[in-house]
Amino acid sequence: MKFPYQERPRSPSPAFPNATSYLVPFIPIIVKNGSKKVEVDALVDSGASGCLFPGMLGIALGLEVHKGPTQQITGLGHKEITAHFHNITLKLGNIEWKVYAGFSFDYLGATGLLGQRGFFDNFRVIFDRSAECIIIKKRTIIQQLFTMMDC
Amino acid sequence: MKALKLAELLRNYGGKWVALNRARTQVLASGRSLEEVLTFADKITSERPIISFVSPLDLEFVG
Repeated sequence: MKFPYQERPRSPSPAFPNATSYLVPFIPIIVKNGSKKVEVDALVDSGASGCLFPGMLGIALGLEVHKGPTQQITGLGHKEITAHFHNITLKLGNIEWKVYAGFSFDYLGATGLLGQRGFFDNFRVIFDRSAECIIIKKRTIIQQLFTMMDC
Repeated sequence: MKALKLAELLRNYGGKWVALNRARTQVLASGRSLEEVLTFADKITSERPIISFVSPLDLEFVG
């Protein structure tokens, strides 16, 4: 599957006085819990440990978000946020898979993060920034064996 | 493949949640909270909108 980068708006700043937009690897993904589903633009984020979504999205999906086991998460600036983990289903194109994903009521800055656990462990991901696209391929068992030999 | 051009469509929505139509040519609903946008989007469209957060325009995002 191939997805275009998204060109999003930004304001110029002292460091980037001519910048009015930027490219970001968001892809449309369906987040499901039973029969409830919401489609969101999620950031393909190789630096994220796992998959993370806004707490309110979990509530919209019928999850009792606060009842999920918690994990503290940090990023830049040493601010910690709390995520509650739940088993959900993600759907990309016609591929569906189960993910143990975090939901947080703290500010995420994105509609969703697709990280190492739950996303990158299921797919081969190529960020082709110069071609302005992200290529995502499901790993077959044979590919997994070859990858193990390569790395 | 060229990037999806959303900069102008979303320029007035920095720091907000939006519901986009499937062709991503129109903002169907917007608001400061995701709950607000999901509620609006449910009422105004029968198609499944794409929900997205637009980063504040003066901040760079590092995921």
